[in-house]
Amino acid sequence: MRLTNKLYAQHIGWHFKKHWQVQGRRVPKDTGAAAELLKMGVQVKTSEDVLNPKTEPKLVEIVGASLKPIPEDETHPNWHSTACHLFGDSNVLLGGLPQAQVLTNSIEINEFPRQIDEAIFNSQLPKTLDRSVQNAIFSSQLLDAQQVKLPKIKLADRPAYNLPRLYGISQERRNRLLINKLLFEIEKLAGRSVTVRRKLIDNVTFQTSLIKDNDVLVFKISGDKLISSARPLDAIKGKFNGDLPDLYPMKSTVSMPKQHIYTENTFYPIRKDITCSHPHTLFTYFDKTIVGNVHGSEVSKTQFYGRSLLKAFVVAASRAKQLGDVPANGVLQKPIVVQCIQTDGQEFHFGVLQLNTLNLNTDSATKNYWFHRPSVELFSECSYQTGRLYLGGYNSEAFRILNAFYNNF
Amino acid sequence: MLTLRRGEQLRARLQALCRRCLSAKTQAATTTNNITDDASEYTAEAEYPEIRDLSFKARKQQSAADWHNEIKSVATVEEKMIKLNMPRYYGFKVVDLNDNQVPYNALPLTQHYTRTVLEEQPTETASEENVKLDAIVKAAREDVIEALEYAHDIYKHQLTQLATPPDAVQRERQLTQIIVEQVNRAVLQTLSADYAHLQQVEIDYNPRHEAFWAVGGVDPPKNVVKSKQGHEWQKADAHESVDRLVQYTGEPYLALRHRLQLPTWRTVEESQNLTLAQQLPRYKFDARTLGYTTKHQHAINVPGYWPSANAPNFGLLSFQSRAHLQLRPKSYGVEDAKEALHALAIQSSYAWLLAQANYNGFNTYNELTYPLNTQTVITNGREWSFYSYQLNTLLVHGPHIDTNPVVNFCRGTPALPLYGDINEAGKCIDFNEATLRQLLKLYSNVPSIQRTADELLPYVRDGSLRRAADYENEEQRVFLEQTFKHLASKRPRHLEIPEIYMWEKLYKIDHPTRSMEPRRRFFEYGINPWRRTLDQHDKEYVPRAVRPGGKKNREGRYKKTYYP
Repeated sequence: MRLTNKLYAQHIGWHFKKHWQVQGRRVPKDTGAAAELLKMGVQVKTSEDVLNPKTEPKLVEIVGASLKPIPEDETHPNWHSTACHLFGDSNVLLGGLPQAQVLTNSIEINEFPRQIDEAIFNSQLPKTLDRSVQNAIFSSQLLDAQQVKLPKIKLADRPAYNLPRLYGISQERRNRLLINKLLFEIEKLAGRSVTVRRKLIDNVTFQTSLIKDNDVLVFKISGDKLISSARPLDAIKGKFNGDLPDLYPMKSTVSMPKQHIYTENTFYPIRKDITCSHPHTLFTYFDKTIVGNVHGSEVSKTQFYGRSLLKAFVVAASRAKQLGDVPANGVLQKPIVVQCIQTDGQEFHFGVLQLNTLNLNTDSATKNYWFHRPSVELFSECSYQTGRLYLGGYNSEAFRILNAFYNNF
Repeated sequence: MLTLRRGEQLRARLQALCRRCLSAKTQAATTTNNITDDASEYTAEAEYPEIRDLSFKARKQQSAADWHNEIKSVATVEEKMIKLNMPRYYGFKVVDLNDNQVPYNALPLTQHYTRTVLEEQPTETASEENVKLDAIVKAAREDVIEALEYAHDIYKHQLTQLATPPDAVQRERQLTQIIVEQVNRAVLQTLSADYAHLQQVEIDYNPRHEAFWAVGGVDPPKNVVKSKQGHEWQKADAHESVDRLVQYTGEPYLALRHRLQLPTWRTVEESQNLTLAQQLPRYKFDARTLGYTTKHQHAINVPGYWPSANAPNFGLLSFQSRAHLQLRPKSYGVEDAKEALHALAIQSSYAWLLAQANYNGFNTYNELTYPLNTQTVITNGREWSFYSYQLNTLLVHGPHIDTNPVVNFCRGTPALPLYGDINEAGKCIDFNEATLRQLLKLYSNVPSIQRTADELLPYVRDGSLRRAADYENEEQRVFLEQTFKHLASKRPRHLEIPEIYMWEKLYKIDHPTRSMEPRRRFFEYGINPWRRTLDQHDKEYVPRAVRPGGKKNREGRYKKTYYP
């Protein structure tokens, strides 16, 4: 190493520059002059105040493309001092079905109402139908030409590993196409006499709020497809008894996020003076990339079932409130029956809710009824295998139940 | 350096020449040995081989024709579409036609690019069909009115829930989607008893329609002219037209498909009319002069679904959006607004039919052997325009734009109101039965033309091999399926296309001031990245553990590719 190189290591010019900076940061000593002057009643100003007097920047109102967001604090017009418990589209109840039962004051009946069971048993579907349903599955799951970036796939045992990003049909579109195609097949079978009394509508929202044991509950959900009918579904015949599950030590509102900003409005997507306004069946999609637990873990089966119950409940409750004849004790004179189908495109969960009362308090004698069976798979696998279409584990049961639900009145 | 490389080239050429000479000599020697006294080899008059035109232009045309024949001889439908993309790894530069933009004065360009004759809808004549249609209109009327009122009511009610309603274009799209779905359901319910074909239709909701084609007869861009003018021998051809590639992308509200084809309404003789073809408008300027843009992407043809054996392959009806027309300034005038609708209808119909043709083995370079028909509705819920389209030819590229006698036909109505208004009470006012009649006429048009599979797909290999899924070789099937989807997904390439930075253009290309710097960049090696072909990429490595033929097998180190 040559020593001469080191001679330049200390750059004298740089040190001179630094010197000025150091001098600039020097704190002037207090000479006591200002205090003397103040004592004599003379106003003291610093040189900064004279040279650069502070001016408040004028606020200019710019008419822009978007409105200014309203701050989410006490000044918000919808601010309430007591926080509500919110159930939305993206959260599930931690306690699953038992918690949903307690929350909605519903007893669970592990079968479908008799008329639906009979309809499933007696239905005679043409033999060619299986082929049509399989085609519907193929054209919605594989053959549609949409190519969008799909959500990231993570391996549970190797979370840092980046898998190649897949392109394909989005989950939402798969579900939409599948349901539309299955309903098209069902409507062809049902004939005009049934179909004119039904209307299908996509992307509907429901909102309602209720009070349970001094807690305010706000439900704000969307349905992906609603079948509305010209006549309400009849109340289910028969006596059903049962007890609500005991959640102790958990409270029934656990895992429902609290919010201070909310409205207590009720919204049902169809006005009540339209002929086809009665809720018949609600379709709701389940996408595990959107719906999840607050703490981020996978949605369990019972949470999946609980979601169906709550969705059906919100539809029935918002309808009951819209009709407006809810007495003070909450017991409805005419119960409202709503069918609910939740699906992730593969697994179908069917349920029927009979709303007898809107009184959710623990002391309520009347209970709501929730009829459901464990979910059924329409197929177990549908993919390209070695460059050819493959459908594995096809089960026509889901289609038969769907058909019975559609034709139920 | 340069002289060295040039020397190598010359040497290689010389060697090739010598080799050819030698082989010709040996061949001649072998043939002389085998000469027999067979008289059948001789004819009374000498038969000379055809004299080939060896001019530069003729050679260019010949190589283009060879390429088109190569595509024609590819075995399966998917492979043909991959073959079309073989010349470009990073995609082609295409004119971007789409269904959410129609610039001012777009009709001449549309007619030129699609070779379409636009006609008025013929007036109806009294017939048995019309009497039947009258009855159907009466039956469907109430249902359709109810569907309209329901759609409006629901959408209006939903908007009350939103703090900030969506903009006008978005509102129209959402409302029209609801209306079209409701009206379609009502009409299918009413008609399916009388028309059995409606029971067999396949309904696509917001399908993806894309088509790719090449158009001739457009003036060359400035750089091409300048480049040709730089060479003495090309100066005369400097202003000759250059083909433009076009990619249409659209997403209709709804599309109905059927297994059979719609009947044609123009005969083959009527479609072959050179004078009519030459009277078609010609838009010689670049499409960018109108406001269209260009982009780089692969050639993609999609009629809403992937190729499969038993799919309903022929379009019956599609419902297109006109929501973006709201954004056009009023100053464009009434006449141009009408023309914009026509242009939209022609573009969408042509593109959908072209994509269908692609699924039957035709493409922009391989001519159709039978006509294809479709019907198109453009609507905003209130105003409806109805079009029928007959696709007779696909050849609009190169010299075909001048010489091809076959034309396509489109006939349509102006925009007709289905109803006057929806009043405060949600009731439909001034319902127009004539419009409903037009709509029902499209639904009641029975697809009746059935062709054998050999007729339908004349350019694919044979009965046992039509689509990629028919291959016996499993690896080949998977490769073709994945390559086809990869192209169609428009996903960006693993590495972006290399770029010449501005300073490099200045200091390395235009003014080579950095002669001491090592040449490492692609343009210093004379590589044009746009010319990279689809198969120029590293092959996929097969790990030893899963390698066929054992761990030590060095032959199977890389996965095979099956590019056509």
